[in-house]
Amino acid sequence: MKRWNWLYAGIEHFLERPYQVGKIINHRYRIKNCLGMGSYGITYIAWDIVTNQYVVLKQMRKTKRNKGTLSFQREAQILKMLKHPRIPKLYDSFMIKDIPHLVMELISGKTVEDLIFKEGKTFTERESFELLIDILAIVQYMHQNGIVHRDLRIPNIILNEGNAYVIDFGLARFLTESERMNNDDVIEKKLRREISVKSDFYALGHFMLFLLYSTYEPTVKEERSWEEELSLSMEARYILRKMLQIDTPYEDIHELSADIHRLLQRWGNGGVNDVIV
Amino acid sequence: MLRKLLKAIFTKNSSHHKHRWSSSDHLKMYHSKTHHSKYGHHHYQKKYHSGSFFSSFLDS
Ligand SMILES: Nc1ncnc2c1ncn2[C@@H]1O[C@H](COP(=O)(O)OP(=O)(O)OP(=O)(O)O)[C@@H](O)[C@H]1O
Ligand SMILES: [Mg+2]
Repeated sequence: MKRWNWLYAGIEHFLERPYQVGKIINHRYRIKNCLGMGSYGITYIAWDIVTNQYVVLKQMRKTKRNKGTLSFQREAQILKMLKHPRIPKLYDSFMIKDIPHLVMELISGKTVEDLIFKEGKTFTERESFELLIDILAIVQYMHQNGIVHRDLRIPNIILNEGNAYVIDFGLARFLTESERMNNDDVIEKKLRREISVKSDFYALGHFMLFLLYSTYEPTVKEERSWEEELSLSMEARYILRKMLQIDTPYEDIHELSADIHRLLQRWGNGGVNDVIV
Repeated sequence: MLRKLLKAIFTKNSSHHKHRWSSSDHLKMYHSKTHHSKYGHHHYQKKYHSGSFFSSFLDS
């Protein structure tokens, strides 16, 4: 399979044919570069010639027309509803030849994924939990507005000047929605995609382990569990086990933030008061 | 048509080749036999291979 990846990528590129650099979309957005081709969309940075600023333009993939249109509409609806300085604003949405497009605020900074894997940034236990508290303030806002993100992973959190931003609402849902779960789905998928606030805590549990592993140097090739490999404080382990639903899960964000605040107090934490407990 | 296809294959923008995590990448992980409470450095220190949309088709 791997051997043919270059060919698949080529055919994919041919079928989708992303916009060329310099092309003007909807008489307004000049394509600067392509950020990536995701599962449903192709994402670009574009220059808005009306407002004279860079924006993010997301074009739905032609090959995902059926499922994709609904998912794009939902993403637009959710972004429009959420008005928070750490969530990209939706500026515009339009169709070109039946293909939905979204235009949103460009968040500057770097994703946590790039910081860890490209730049070798490391996070101590304290730094990891401080970042979590910052992210939870945004997540609290989403949950209060009846939205669950369901894709809180390291590539979807951007850090800029020490502040966290949440992007990619492509999998977000209204908490009132229901979605049929396939009984054959493995537990991990069920926990990540359940329409419940718990799935965001679950995803953030894994997010935290990516941060905490940034300082870990394996001594043996064999893999042990994170609890055996990492030297974490008892409180940190307690919190992570609940986030990951190994122990009784957190039912709401206040319970979780109260535990984190307690942990941060160990370090004489000052000024972390974003989440109102 | 064929020429266009070949051209697309060989001249594709390198940024599309560049690895990006994708929401679909996680689908691969779902097939992992290890329970998530047992994940260790193999899981949290290695990046998943990016999927072309063909692999996301295969996985979903
Ligand atoms: N508002 C934004 N500001 C800055 N960068 C962004 C923004 N939205 C998306 N990006 C960048 O573009 C990439 C792809 O965008 P996004 O994740 O929204 O697309 P996607 O179709 O959901 O792709 P994937 O399936 O890979 O998640 C992201 O990894 C991120 O680096
Ligand atoms: Mg994404």
